[in-house]
Amino acid sequence: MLKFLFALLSNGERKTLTDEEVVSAYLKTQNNYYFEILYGRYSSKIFGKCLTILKEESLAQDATQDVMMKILLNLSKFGGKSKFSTWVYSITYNFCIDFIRKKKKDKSQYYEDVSQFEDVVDEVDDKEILEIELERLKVIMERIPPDDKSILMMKYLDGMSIKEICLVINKTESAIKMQIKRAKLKFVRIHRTLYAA
Amino acid sequence: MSKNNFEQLEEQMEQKYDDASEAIKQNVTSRKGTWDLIGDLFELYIPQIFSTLIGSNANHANPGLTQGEESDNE
Repeated sequence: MLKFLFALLSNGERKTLTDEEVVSAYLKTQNNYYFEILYGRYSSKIFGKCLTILKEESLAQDATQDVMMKILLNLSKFGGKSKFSTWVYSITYNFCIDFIRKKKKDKSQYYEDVSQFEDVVDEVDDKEILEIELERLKVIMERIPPDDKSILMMKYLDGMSIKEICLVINKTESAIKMQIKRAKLKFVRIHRTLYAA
Repeated sequence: MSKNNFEQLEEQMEQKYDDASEAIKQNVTSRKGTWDLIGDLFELYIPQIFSTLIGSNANHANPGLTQGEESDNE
């Protein structure tokens, strides 16, 4: 009975505590219980992002473990400048991008093709990107370079503002705006190339 | 609120997490355990190592002196 009550209470606490409260409780107590809460909230999301960027399940699995450890070992450095989720995702994106850069594995034939269009800076409507069917989106995301893929995910998936993306990528606002513009352009170009008819 | 196509894609990717979740959790838990152990060992032995080093340095500085002689000289 007592066990049941404790489980009920802690389940309630699990749901009501904000991420920031959980982090500060973990840092104060070093109690595994609080880390488990963060793990439960974020591990599947981290895995999903890693899989989208790295494209292989085994790589995504290893990356998720490494990202979780990085988060755990750096929790004390989370200063609360951004939302905790933004901080977690910035570690995830940066880890995946660094991983690909090191391995230099992810070279799709489309990378060179789309680079020709980099100088053409058109304005691409968000609506055009958000209305693309899921199956097509999956194909396009497999062909787009990881840096551009990540920045599009930050914008359309995580709903990050330009300022938040600046914190993640560590670039100026104008550089981020330009990178988003180019990523959107590449995205649309790939879409048009593949599904022109 | 309906999900946009990026959110739906992530949801699909997250579904694949179920197969890998147990292995990931086990690995993270064991790595965390190792780090905790290293932390505990540091916490336990580092102060002792420091005091030993300081003690041996003091002996090197005054090699011939015993504790009693040191206090006599003072």
